[in-house]
Parts: sequence; C-alpha cells; structure tokens
Amino acid sequence: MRIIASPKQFLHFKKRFLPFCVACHILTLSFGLWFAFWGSPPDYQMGEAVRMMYIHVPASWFAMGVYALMALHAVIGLITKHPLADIIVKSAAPIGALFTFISLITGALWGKPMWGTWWVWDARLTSVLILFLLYVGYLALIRSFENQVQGLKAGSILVIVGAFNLPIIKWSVNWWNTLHQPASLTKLSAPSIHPEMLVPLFLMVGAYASYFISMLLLRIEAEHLKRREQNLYFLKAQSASL
Amino acid sequence: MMMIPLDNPYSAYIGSAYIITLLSGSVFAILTILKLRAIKKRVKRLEQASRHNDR
Repeated sequence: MRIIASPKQFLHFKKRFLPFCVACHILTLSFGLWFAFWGSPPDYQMGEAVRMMYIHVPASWFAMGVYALMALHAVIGLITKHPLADIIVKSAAPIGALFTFISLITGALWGKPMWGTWWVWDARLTSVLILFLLYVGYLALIRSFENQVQGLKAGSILVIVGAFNLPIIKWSVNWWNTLHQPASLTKLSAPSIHPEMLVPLFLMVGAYASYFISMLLLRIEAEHLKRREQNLYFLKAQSASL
Repeated sequence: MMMIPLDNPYSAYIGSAYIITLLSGSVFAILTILKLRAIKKRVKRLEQASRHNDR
C-alpha cells in the first residue's frame, strides 16, 4: 500500500517489477500452452475436451479472486478513506470482468460437447453471470456520478454487497443439484486430478496471475496520471481566473 | 510426447476457447497500453503548458 501511495515510489517499483511480470507471463503461458496441448494426457471420461480445463478453471478462480481483492480494498477504503484503496478497486474491476467473461465463454464452449447445451440456468452458471453483471455494474456506477469521490464510494458499497455472491459461487455445486461438476482440486481431501494434468493447470494459473499483476500495475499508473491531469487542469483554471 | 489428435470431435470447441481467451487478453492489454500512452501524452503537454505559463 505504501509503495503505491507515493506516485514516485510506485513508478520506481513498477519500472523494476513490470518486466519481471511480463517475462513470467510469457514463460508460464508458453510452457502452459505446450503442456496443455502436448504434454498432458486426455481424460478417461472427457477425452480431449479436458484441455478446456487449463483456461477455464484459472479464469474462474481469478474472476472470484479479483472480486475478493476488490471487496477487501473497498472495505479498507470505506473505513480508512484512503484514496489508494479506491484506485486499486477501480483498476482491478475491468481485469476481473475480463476473467469472468473468459470463464463464461470457455464454460459455454466446454458445456456444449459435454452437457449438450451452451447454457443452463443452474446455480453455478447463474451466480457467475451475476458476478459478471456486478463487475459491469460497478464500472457503470462509478462513471455515472459527476463527483468522482461519491461514485467510488457508491461503487465500493456495491462491491461489498456483491461479495455475498462469492460463497454462493463456491458452494453452489454442493448446495444445489447442478450440471456443473463439484470441485475436484480445491476440496479438502486429496485432489482428484492426475499430477500430469496439474502441471499445465498450475502453469496457466501462473500465466493468469502474472497477466493480472502486469495489467493492474499499468492501470494503477494510468489512474495516478488521470488524477495528476485533473490537478493540472484545476491549477490551469485557477491561474486563468487570477 | 502426447499429441492432441486434430480429428478429435472437440477440436473446434477447444480451438475456439483458446483463440477467444488469447485474443481477448491481447486486445485488453493493447487497449490498456494505448490508454496509458494517451494519458501520459496529455499530462506531459499540460505540464509543459503550466511551465510555460510560470515563465
């Protein structure tokens, strides 16, 4: 938080950290794709369609993870009134919306050959669609206010209220009868995925993580610059009126 | 080395999913970079203008 607080310190940190993140992303994505297509076996039930898992599952994890991060910073922002918490929430929202979009699209493309349908209104799919609408709603809400501070405050409240959707997404497959399969990796007992399939899955998780951090750093810098631009306009208007 | 057979019945779905993911990620990254560049340019211009006004 302290590093992002000062624009100067943040730029110094970003300059050093961004190339590392980009390099990590290129490496993990290249190896992840190679293992996803050539280095991992087909599933005994799903066959080759299991390769969909390597992009769909990390996208879904990050769709939820980014929202949880936003909710945490929205709470921090409302309690401490620290503007940086709002910057993080605002910068992370479009990236989270992208991950949710990828999760929904790849889920539909996986669902068609496996379930025979692109979409069903079951608990898991519907709650993820609600998550996407929450992201889009947040972005629309903060833009609809003339006063930016008020917009961000209203957005933070929406994010916190929407966080109740996260446990519903996570446990919907256990609470209700759904077409979606239950968790196979994050269950408390041993994961029911073959280790050869875990390699590409975790490489793709690394690719998504490094992509998220890179985009977040760039968007935070853009947000800092936007505020600097507003200050400069204000100073310009002030000097013109004198 | 295992290889995904191209004639498998799911190749169109798998290919579409990977292409959509990679394309949307790339487009988002390009738009973010372009947006950042545009803001940087605007701020630089404003800073130059304010320095000019100070003189």
